[in-house]
Amino acid sequence: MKQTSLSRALVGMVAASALALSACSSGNGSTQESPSGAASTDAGTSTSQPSEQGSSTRTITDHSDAQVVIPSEINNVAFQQIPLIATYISYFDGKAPGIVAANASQINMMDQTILADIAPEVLDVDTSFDDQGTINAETLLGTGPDVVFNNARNSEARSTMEAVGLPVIGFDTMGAPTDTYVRWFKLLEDVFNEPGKTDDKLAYGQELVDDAEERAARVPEDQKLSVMVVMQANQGMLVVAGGMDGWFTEEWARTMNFVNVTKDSEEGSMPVNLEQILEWDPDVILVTGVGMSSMTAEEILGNEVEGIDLSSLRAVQNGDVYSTQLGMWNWFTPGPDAPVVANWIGKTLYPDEFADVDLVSMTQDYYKKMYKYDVDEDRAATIVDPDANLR
Amino acid sequence: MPTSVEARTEMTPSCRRESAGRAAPAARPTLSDALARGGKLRPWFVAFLWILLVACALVSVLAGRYSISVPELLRAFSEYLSGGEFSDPKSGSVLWGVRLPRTVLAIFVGAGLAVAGAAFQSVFSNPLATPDTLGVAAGTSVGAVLALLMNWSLIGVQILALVFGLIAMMVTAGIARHRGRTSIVMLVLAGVIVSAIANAVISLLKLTADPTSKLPEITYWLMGSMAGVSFGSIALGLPLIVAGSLAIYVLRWRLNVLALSEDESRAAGLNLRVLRPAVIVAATLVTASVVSMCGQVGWIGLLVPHCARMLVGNNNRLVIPVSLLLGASMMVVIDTLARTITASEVPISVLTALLGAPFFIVLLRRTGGNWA
Repeated sequence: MKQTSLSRALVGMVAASALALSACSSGNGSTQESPSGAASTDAGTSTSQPSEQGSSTRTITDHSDAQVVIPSEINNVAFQQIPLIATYISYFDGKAPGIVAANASQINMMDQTILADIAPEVLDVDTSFDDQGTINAETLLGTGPDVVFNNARNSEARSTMEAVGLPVIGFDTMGAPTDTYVRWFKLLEDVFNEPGKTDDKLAYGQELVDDAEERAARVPEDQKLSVMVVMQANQGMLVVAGGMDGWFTEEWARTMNFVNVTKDSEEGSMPVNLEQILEWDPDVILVTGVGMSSMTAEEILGNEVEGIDLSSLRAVQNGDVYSTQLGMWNWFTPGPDAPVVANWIGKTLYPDEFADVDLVSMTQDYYKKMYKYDVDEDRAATIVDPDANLR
Repeated sequence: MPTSVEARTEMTPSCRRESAGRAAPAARPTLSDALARGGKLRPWFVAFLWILLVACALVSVLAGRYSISVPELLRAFSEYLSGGEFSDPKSGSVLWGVRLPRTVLAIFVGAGLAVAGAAFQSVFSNPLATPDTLGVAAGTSVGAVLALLMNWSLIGVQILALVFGLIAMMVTAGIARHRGRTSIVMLVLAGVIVSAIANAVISLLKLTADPTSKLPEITYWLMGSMAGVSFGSIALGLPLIVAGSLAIYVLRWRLNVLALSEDESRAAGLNLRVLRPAVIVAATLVTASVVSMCGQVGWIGLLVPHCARMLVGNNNRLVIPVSLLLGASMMVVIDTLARTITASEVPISVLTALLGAPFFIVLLRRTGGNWA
């Protein structure tokens, strides 16, 4: 008992000195905006709860149903293994205020996204606490975040970070991507205590989603296309996205009216050999592309994947292989671009139903609205079809 | 000459101790007597093992996730042999790109690993010895992981893995050599050390790998798979497996003597300084080549020789050929399961352990462990 209180005191001392140090270091030079600079005026009006320090903390419920006590005023945030940065930047109209740390793989993935143009400062965010997928909670504490965002299902990472006293807010990644980004926006509203801030954006997004789903739903059952989503090549096999319930592939299949070839599997990703792929012989192959894997449609169309001969596949012979796009983020995974992605999937699979949908201008309008960012036509066209030269 | 050696083996001190210590069940001698007589396998048993292997190979070629009828299969086979175009390119690429190369590879991998395991168990007089005892598999894996990290082609991965496996063997031998002599204990300890170092290096390399793309590739490679195999890569790895297995096969009756103490072996008139390294090098080459082609395949090298001993007794002259044929059959079955039981490929080492271990338990319970 005595030892516990002693170690608590020690941890407290270390934490306090680390915070003090980080306060010093962030004091010199970095004049980043604080996310809740504007928000602090209406802080305390809604969910703030009385605590020992008065109303300086609030309690919110995250996607893992955990009650998280967070500071009323949030100036610095950190991201751990949750691809939320794009949503965060959209939340702040194209700015990235107060990001003090993020895991390295997430920052690396940003490299070729338009996010890197919109908020290039994010590329320089400190990643030292999680360079290789394991967390050093003390290093993270040293960067001084007020809250940490992570994946709601990663409870191990959560307890590691909570052990050093950091408030951790879990965001759920499962479910239809067109719903997920909505829930992410709503939770961010809770975190920054700005209810209704993203209502306009969400209404605009919902309009695009509804239209896309309605068009896709017109495709009769017997004309639904079968789709295989390729994530990677691995030793003579393709790693394809599985049909786990709530996984993005399965959810896109449900909302956009196509048949996911792996629908019967319970996995997130599965290595499959040539025989299995030929047995499926999908109508269309979607490749998760840059930002998520290093693979693109080009490798499959050109039959360049080593150790596996894909040339006899119907989709390869017909040229129906497409890289899912890289806009604000990889388009297949949850992200704020989901409403445009729904239209992209629809137009790719069922061009007749989406004949009057102009993806390029839709992308331009959407980015203007969501990120306050002007994308020129060429860039938008590349986002929509990076493999245009292949067909 | 062979008969005198076998006569001595029958009389080894350990055997005598064992039979004195336990009441040997009457069933054991009957089984090995039924399958072998006078130091030779009974012809019908040899024929049975061959038929088993051929049957397993046939099932392997016929089974798969992609359904091809037997006539289609035969047509694709003859079309390839006659050099023409495949009338159905899908059946053609399934047969020649997946099933045949994998079946061929599985036969040689299983045979090689089983023979190498039996040889190591004899040379080290240790029933726990496996093809990896000298750290070769771990060393080979280091090469493969490095090549995967550097984005090399599949053949490049195989070559670098093989090179690292041979380096690991030399390092082990170098550590074990003391004042011009190499004792078995030193060799086994050196193997443990090299294995530990290699595994640490693998962990370190995995830490530096990109967790979204490279890490899964490495993890999967380490668990063993024949999915990436082509006739080209088989051609590259096969000579070492064949040469190593053949050498052990030729030396099989001398393995009985190697299992004795050094003094006893010398008394039997063998040149230990040549024979022991020869067997070790042969078994190591087989292991390195196998691991370089299809990753770490556990259990076969431990399980199959023990099965063979349960069937035909301790005489290596019989254990080696039985291991060879049984190992080949078992590997073919396991690889067939790996590519057919679920839509996604199951790593080989998972299957060898999940299927091999319970099978081994059954055998152990039945024989009471009395074969060793």
